[in-house]
Amino acid sequence: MASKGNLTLKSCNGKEFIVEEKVAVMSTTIKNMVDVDDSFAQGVIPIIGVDGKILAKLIEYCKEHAEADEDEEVKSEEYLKKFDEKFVDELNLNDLYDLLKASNYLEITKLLNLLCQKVASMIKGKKPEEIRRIFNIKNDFTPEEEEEINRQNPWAF
Amino acid sequence: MESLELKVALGNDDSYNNKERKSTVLEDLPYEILVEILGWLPIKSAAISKLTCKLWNGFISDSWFAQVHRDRAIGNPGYLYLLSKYSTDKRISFAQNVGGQEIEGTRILFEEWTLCHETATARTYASSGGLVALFNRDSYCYYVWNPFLKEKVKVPLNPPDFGDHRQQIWWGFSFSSLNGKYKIIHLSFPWINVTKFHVKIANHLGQGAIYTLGSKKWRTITNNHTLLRPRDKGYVDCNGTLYWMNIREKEDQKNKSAPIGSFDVLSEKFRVWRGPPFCDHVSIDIRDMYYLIKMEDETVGFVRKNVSSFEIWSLRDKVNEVWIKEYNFLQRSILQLPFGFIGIGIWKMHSLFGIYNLRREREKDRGKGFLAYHPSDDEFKVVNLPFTVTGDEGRISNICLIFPHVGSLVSPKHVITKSEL
Repeated sequence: MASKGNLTLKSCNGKEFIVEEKVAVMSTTIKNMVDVDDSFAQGVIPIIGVDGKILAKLIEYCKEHAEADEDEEVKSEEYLKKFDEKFVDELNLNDLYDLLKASNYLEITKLLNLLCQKVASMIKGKKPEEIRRIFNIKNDFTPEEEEEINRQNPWAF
Repeated sequence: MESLELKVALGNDDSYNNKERKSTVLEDLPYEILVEILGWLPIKSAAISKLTCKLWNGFISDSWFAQVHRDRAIGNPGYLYLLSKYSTDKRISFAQNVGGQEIEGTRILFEEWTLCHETATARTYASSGGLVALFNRDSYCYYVWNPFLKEKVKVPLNPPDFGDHRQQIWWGFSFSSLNGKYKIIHLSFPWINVTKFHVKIANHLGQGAIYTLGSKKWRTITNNHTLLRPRDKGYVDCNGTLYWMNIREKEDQKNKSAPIGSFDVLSEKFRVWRGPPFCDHVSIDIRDMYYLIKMEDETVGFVRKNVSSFEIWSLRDKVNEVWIKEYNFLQRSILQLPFGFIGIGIWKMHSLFGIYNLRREREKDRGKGFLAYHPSDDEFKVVNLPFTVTGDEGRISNICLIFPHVGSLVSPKHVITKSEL
């Protein structure tokens, strides 16, 4: 059992993490659980569909941001910006997807926005065939349909 | 509801379900995440991404996506600009900073380009929330236009008695992110006879009307402030509040103040502001240049410039009217500043973006240029806009109009025809 002010989070593959409450409640979903039902604050909170590796990443992110919210002197806006940049740069595509799903489910809005912008920056300025290659997407258009879309937005091409 | 149905339809698409899956693909993500991601794309990339696959095309073409995208894009507006009025090339250009030093430009066919020009007496265009409003003085009507969709919807001025051609007109167009509504505000100031041979424009509002896009008719608005007449046709739009410089009356000159008028589009209330305090060594006088700009965080900025100083004040506390001096250009910067530099808005990363006239002895070197001032390093940087003829110092010989615009896929037809809730 976690000591007072700490929460225990359990990943889907059984890994347990003891984190400070202020870090865990960066997630709106966890915050709502704790607010509604006090027993969650005492016991173990299962994080469904999130494995240990991804949960560790989430906690790393929330810890930095929770500390920055508390003390702007130590962790300035600039420090956080650098941290965010490094955090997303180190992720491979699969981790990015898993983190996107997890931060959406746990409602960690700041992180979700950061990850979405990261994926958007990978799409930005690319040709359709390059986008398909990076994200492993199949082209399901007929040449006539492609022609029609080209015709709608001549300024884009 | 429309977008929800679309999602379901796409989710049941056979070709999608039967497709071979690798470990994780982008399409496995919940649709709301995919829309969030695509919503962060600059306008040109968003349009190109339609060609990726049917699923993406469906999302990006949807009116719900247009709103999500607009709300993201508002934080990073670009600029629409017209090259020479007399050119046979009937296209309008758009430039947007898409990260770092990278500027993305595109040209859009614009047959009605004569609608969008500057005249000495009336503003003919205004941009807000990804749409442009155009005022046609000849037919006395408004158009709401999205250049990227090539869509234009006519809004007649109604009732017709608002269309008194003899009156001085001031108008604005604004989108409020608080309720997601677009409004056109139309004010007229009557001429009054001072003597038999001398007329002047009245200080008081003659008539005011407001139109919410998507509603059935114009409504009249009233104003209780007497001294409200805008100094000129210009204004700045700070998230649904329009601010303009008022004409300085005799007592303002005595009080050394430069009064500002505003209209809040959400509450439909007028207000008069004292303006920043200039009780220090120099008072505003005829040699000072002063105008308003929009700051990056949607507050209004007051620019005051003369031979020895260049300051930007911003309105930090609306309740008590507190102005804070945000920028104070150093002496070195003022010396670097080209003659006639006018800030027209904010470019990426808090930098002040402005236009200046370049004068040279040789005729061919005359023109206009663009600079962005970065307060963090106290430096001016030349901004080269795509498609302009540039030379030394970013000289542009052929630009005739430029204004900030949010590149969006919002359909004016959809905004105007959807019934008011």
